[in-house]
Amino acid sequence: MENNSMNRPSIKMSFSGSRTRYFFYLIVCLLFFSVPVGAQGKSTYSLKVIDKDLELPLEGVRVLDPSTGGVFLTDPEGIVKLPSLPALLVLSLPGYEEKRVRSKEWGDQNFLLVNLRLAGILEAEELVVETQAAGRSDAQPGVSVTAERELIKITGLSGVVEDAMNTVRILPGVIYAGRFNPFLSVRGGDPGGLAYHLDGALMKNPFHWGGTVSYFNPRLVESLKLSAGIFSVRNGQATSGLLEINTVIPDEGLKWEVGTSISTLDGYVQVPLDPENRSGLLAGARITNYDIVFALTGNFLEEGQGITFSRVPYIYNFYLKWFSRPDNRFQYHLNIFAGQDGIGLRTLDPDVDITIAIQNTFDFTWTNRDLFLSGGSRWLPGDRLSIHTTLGYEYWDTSADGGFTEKGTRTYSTEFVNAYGGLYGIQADDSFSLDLQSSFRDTTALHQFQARVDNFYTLTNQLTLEAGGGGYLSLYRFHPSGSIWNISYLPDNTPVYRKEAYTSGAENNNILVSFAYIGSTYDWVPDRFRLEGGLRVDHGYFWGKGDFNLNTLPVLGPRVIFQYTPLDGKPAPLTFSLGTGIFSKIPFDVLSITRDMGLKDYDIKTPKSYTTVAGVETYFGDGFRFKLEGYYKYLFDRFYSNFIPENETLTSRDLMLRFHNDGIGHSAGFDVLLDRRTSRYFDGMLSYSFNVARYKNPQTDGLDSASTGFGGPNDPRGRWYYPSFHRFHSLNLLTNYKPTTWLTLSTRLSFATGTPEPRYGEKEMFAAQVINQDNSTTIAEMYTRKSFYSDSLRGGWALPLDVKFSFHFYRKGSKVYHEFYLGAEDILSVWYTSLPGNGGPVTTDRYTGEDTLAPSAGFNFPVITFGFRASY
Amino acid sequence: MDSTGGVTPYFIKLSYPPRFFYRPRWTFFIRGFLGALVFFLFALGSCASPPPAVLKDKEGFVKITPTPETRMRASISFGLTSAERTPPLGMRLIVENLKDSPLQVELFSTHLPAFLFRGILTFASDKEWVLQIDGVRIFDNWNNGWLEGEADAYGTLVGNLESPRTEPGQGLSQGTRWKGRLRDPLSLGEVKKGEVRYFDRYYRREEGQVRVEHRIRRLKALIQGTAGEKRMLGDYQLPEGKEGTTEQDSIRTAPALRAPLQKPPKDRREPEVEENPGLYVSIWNLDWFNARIQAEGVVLEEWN
Repeated sequence: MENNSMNRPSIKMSFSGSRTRYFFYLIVCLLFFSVPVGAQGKSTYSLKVIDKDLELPLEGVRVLDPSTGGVFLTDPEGIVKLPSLPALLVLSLPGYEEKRVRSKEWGDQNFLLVNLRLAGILEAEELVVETQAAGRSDAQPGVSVTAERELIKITGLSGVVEDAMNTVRILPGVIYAGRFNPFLSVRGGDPGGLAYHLDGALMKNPFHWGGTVSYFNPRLVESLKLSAGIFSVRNGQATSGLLEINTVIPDEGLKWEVGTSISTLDGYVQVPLDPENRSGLLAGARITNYDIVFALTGNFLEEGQGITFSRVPYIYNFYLKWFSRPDNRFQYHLNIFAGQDGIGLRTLDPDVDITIAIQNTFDFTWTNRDLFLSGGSRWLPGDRLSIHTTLGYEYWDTSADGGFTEKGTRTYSTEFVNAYGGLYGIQADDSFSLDLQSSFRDTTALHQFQARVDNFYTLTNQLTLEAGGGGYLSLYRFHPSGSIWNISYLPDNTPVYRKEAYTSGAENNNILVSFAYIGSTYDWVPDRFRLEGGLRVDHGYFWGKGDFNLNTLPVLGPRVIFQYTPLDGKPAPLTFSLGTGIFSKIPFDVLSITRDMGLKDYDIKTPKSYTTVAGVETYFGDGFRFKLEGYYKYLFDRFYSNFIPENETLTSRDLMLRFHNDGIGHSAGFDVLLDRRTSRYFDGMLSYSFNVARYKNPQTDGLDSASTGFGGPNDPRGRWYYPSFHRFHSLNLLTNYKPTTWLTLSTRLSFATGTPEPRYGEKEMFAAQVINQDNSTTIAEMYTRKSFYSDSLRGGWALPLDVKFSFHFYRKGSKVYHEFYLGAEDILSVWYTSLPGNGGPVTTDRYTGEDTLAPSAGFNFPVITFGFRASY
Repeated sequence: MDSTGGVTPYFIKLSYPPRFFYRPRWTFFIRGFLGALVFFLFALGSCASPPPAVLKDKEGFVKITPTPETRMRASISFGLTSAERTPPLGMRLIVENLKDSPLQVELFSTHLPAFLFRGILTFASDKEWVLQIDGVRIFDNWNNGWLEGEADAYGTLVGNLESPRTEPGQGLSQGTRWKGRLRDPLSLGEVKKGEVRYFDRYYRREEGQVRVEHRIRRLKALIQGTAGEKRMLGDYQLPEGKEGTTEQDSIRTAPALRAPLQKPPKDRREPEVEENPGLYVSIWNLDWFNARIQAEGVVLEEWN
């Protein structure tokens, strides 16, 4: 008997007639074709979609079968019929969370009921107003943490200075830096290793007052994202982290907001330029002036310090943004930021009688101007390809002009006469007179141009490719100069008082940094395993005065991060992440490179960090999130410089700058985040960062490590050390308690252990040969202490507590929001700075030898603040 | 109603009998000039000063006033307001030009604080008008946000002349009293547009629309939980109604009559109620409102 795969009957039959034969074949065909149909089992599958809260059917739900690309819509009863059982279905409906249904959920049934939940329970989830576009993604485990508008408003719109950086300071991974210091160390990295992006464009100097306040007005910031982990190869020029500021997009119709606080008046307005809000304009301005503040606190500052302001601190800035989305496939924006700030400070101790003592004065003026233009576009030429372009120009002009005077007459002490009287013919009751002047003037001007193109191609539903490139051209005009009287040491460690002149020959350095990258994001198993990786290359080219030019070795920056989500849900209830990568940044220090340094092509290496991060993130309860990430960084090819004395005499010397590129460092630690998103009664955030960072700058250039460091004793050479910004522990607790609908009580408590403190040697009295301005010479009685780096000594810990009461309401039938707030900053400072060891460093008066406690560098003092805002 | 089917605004419909046309022509010009002058002064006055208030009841619960956007261009506005101890009801009629007919209307009540119904009022005769509701603006706020939406709405209010007209002709005239009855009760339909502000978050476009729709459904679901209770309201008690097959049917034919609320009960602590107290009250009161006007009607008179 024949046996073949077609299962045709193999018996031999005879047919009596054609009709019978055809009838027989018909029966056979029906039987044959009925076999595979019967093997299929069920005819159709029905899916019903309902609203989880209301238990009502949802019409119009889009049901996508990714394997075939087929799209179905639910009917008014929420039902859709499917021809076959798909491996995966993706359900989506505007305003609702997307849901994925796998074949295993059907079991043996041909009917399945699916619940869709409204997207982002109002009191729990981070807002997603619009469809996410590539390049502006939400926080990702192992990569970044975001702060949305509400957190920015709560933390940014308060205090003496309203600044979005107030929000960044409390994010996990950020080491506490004090109230007025926005130069932040992220996970132990150098503050200079943090890059700032405004709507995708790099900002070189987004700060007012030399770094005290940032340009980022909290009212204009839609969200910010701090990437301290393994962020995409799209972004570079950052060794410790990337801070992306996304401003408000003016596509929401007419909106406005005005506000005033103790020192600031600002506001903005959004106007639509298109009836359907496809185009809009946003304009804002800010004026910060401290006349009121110093009228209230002037007595406090002036007491014992004699501070006056030749120019009260001010900030003026203006912001304009134009956005347009002509159709769903193309959009573009233009940002214009212009700002100016300044301060004029004069200190004078009015109680000093120059006939019997030396009076010190300090006169300082600072002026800063910045203009930032940037624009970008996003274009979808096809369903799979997205092209982003960014252009930018930044002009930055800053000048710091200052002078010190030391003038007066002082009688020699008995101890000095006994020690040096015989050598210099000094007798009891003799006196010396000083009339010294120090001065400095630093000017910096920068023109920076930038351009980049980023391309994203969706190869499949699981695989997205990206590639791009660009460059930053920086034209610097850098003119530092000064001559300053200072205590220094001869090679035999004899202290002397002499005038040290400095200048830089690198006046017109230009830098072109170019980059290219290629990367991909692969949903290996959708909603389970996600892999993102890529390779980036950066290159630097310098040219400057004297017709010299230098190339850096191209820096390769491979990065990969892997995320595993074992459980379904949105947001994913549990995610593990593991990633590693190399990051690089050409630092600001390279401004001072000159032809005389004898550098050649590829001598300069770009500073890099090799970073590894592992973490876990989970959502639980009613809007709670917990995140734990551990990391290790190896920093290498770090820049540092030494001042090499030249032309040294007893009364003067020149200091020549010598750069080195072989600094290394290790940084390890972990960050913890526990937060609850905006809720009706209570929400807040707890972040804690633990960090150990050790750096080493190997080259001493033959000088004493105690005094060769550019940054003083906290920046030693030839040994491992904790960097000056290092703190072991940084903790921030932010709570918002809303006992009524019209009152919010916000508290922000931070705790941070101290930064490294130097060890001071014995007080030393010495005879300084001084040449006064009138060229007369004299022997001055002076005192000094050497300072040495110490691994064990630490400054005092900080415990700033800020409290803010907000009273907010809408008038009946109105959409205008009103808020008054009253707050106090650092209210515990009087207590914790008075504790032993918690004050500032000990300073020794150079003329009297008297030891005093200097004010804390963190400016820890309580401040009362109040403000008002209205918004529509 | 004129031959075109529209309504000629009464204020310029001078009561000249046909014999006017047989008077000498010079009198015609003088009267025409005076009439034009009167109209000009009237129009000038209506532009220069706030438009006269419209209809309302004696207690001032219900008002009809011009919409803000049409107030700018409306040369004339009228209103009707409920006159007696009935559910406060107001209707605002907008006249964009002298020949504008039918009239746009906004209908609102203090018992429905979150709703501003819109419709078209058409004069069937000089003694009857019909108001067909076709939409509603929804707005409510609390101390930390607001909710706004546009939705379809349904309902028909018929007004019959009750007191003698103070001026002949069709349309409204000061002092005129109308008896309004609901032929079809007021009800909400599909939400077309929506926006929500929650603290500093904004939900717009589709997401806002979904959230407004969701909030209304949620409040209805909360209210339906207490719809089974039957309460006495003065002399009024509706008979048991039949079960509706849709959510709207169940509200329109609520089996029990609820006492109206001025604000949500204190024991209602759901976030939805706290965030939208006016909307809760409006949805709660809608059945009662419809029942009262259906049963008793409402007397409306002009209010200046």
